Amino acid sequence: MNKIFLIAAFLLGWSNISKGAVIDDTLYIHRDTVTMAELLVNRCVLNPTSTFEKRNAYIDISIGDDLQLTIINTDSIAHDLGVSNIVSLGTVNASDTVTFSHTFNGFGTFGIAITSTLGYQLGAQATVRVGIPNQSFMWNLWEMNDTLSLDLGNGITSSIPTDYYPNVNTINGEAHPETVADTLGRVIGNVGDSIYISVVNSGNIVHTIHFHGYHVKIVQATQNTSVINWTKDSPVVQPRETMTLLLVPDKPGMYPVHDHNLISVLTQNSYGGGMITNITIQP
Amino acid sequence: MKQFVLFIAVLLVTQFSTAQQVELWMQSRMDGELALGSGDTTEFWGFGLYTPPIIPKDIEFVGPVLRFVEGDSISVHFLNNSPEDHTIHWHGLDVDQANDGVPTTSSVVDPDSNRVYSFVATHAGTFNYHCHVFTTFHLSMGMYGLIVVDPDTSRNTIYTGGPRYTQEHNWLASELNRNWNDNPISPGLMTLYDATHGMLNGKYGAQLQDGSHDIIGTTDDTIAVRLSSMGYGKVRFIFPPEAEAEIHMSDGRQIPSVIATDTIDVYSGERFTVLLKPSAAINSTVEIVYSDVRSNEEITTNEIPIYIGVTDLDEQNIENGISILGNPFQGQLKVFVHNEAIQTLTIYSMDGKLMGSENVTPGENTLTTQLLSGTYLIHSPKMNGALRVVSY
Ligand SMILES: [Cu+2]
Ligand SMILES: [Cu+2]
Repeated sequence: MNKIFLIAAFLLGWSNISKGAVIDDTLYIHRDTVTMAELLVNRCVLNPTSTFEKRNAYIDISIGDDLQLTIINTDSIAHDLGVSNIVSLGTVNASDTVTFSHTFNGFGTFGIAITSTLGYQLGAQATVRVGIPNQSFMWNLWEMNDTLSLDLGNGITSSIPTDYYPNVNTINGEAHPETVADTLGRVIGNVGDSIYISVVNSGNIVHTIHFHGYHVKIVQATQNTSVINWTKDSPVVQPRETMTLLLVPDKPGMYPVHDHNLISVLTQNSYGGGMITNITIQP
Repeated sequence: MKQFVLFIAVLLVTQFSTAQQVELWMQSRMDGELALGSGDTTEFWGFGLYTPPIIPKDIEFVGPVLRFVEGDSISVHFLNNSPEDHTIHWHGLDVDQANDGVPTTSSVVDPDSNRVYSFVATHAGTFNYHCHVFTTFHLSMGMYGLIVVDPDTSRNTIYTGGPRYTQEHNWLASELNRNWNDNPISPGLMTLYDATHGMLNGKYGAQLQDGSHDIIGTTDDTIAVRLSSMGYGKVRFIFPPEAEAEIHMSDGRQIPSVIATDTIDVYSGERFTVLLKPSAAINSTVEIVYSDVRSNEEITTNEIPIYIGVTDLDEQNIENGISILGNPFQGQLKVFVHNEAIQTLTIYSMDGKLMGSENVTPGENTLTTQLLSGTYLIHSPKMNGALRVVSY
């Protein structure tokens, strides 16, 4: 290796680091009453527009990008925000607007989450996908009990009780079979593809995602980092954990993928609802 | 000597290429009766193996452990010997869509009908099987079991080229919600599931204290413990620190680097292969704590006795209060009892089976045995573990 090459490599490295762009984006904090999984719930979300949607937003950026995020709080109470539970960003008061900045230096899936109690309980967490290749999917998980969410929203209670019986179990705001129509969540690909799946647990309890047909590699995780590079069929996602899974299908087929905590695959009292979606692999 | 070495090499080669066609017959039934102790019983649904053409009534809670060899091509003739639809899902074996056992993407097996499930056991490790019809309910009723895939028929490594073990324990943790088992006709709201029992291999509490699950060994042993959970909550396994537990595999795959830890949390559908390499005498228990993931409250705890003896002779005398006189032995085992609190001695096989028990007094005792040649463990509740004895 000669000196000129070394200098070139240094310049390349330097230009890579400085290449991180400044990305401006805006998210709205909305909280409203809406029907999810056939039940009326109080739901808090981070949405891309001034219109309430039950699904949280997602933002795609490159490694090293500096996200300048303007948060417009349309709610009647203040909310604290953080990069999942990793970094605290600050507070946005009721009907106020604040711009936060955070540089994402690592590959993978992260969350911009409400970390204060009510927004956390009601599932407000946007996904930030950093440097993830094009063929990627996203599962933003949230479970809740319908009556409890209304009581939390009305201030009748402020904590998740020990007799917590979730009956609203959703992926990207939908319960199965509606999850199958969600192009962001339903995995479609071909044998041999490298398919990235961002998993974001915006719920209040742990969720174990069981894959039929395939094992996946956990390529990134923000809480239980000891499982990074493990190959599993049942990865475990703790509350507020974000994780990136790599699926390289070895065979064609259509398979369900679901929470293996089997009280989460119910919509009201009917089995086959809740946290189930589908993987369809063509030859 | 050279000839002897060559002979062993040939033997090893023939033992290692052992993948084959495997056929077995399984049935499902919905009329099981589960003994909960003290005459108390509840209903269960489950799986059982049978030999055609005879179909006995037997189903087991939990289902029988299925054991395959890596590379085996397996055909399971499944008879649904019950009045409702069922399937078998091969959890973690990554079988093709037609054999996956999911009603919507594969197919169901109608009442009094049968089908063949065909698949290849591509990886050594720990897996499960369970019914995938109305799974929240059918699984809870008892329709599940454990699968162990060995890397080869020598059955003493956990994966091809992996570490060897001297004994093994296969532990399937699960829950029982007896409100459903007592009344499967109208179980009520599924979302109100509440476990009433924490089970290990279909038993709980005092049922696990009958010696059948005890870990008995010495500091010379490497003990494989395969952990699996088909419950709906969290199962925390806590090993004594001297057991030196290490995680080597999860979900049927080797993990990139071994993790040394006494505490292992297993969530629904997960599996772990753990090796114990005891570093000192142990007279303790493995704690198995079941908790509800919604409330984070503990449901129950099971305890599995673990007795580890030290193999150093000096330590035998001090730690255990007995000395083995003449080891190995043939027929008659002479034992010197130093500690008068030791009034009975029990002999176990290396896989934990009770072989016999005899009363002893301080001083020299002669135990008359009819043991086949092999290694056994001698133990008393007053001892700080177990000692290894060899019959020839
Ligand atoms: Cu069934
Ligand atoms: Cu399963």
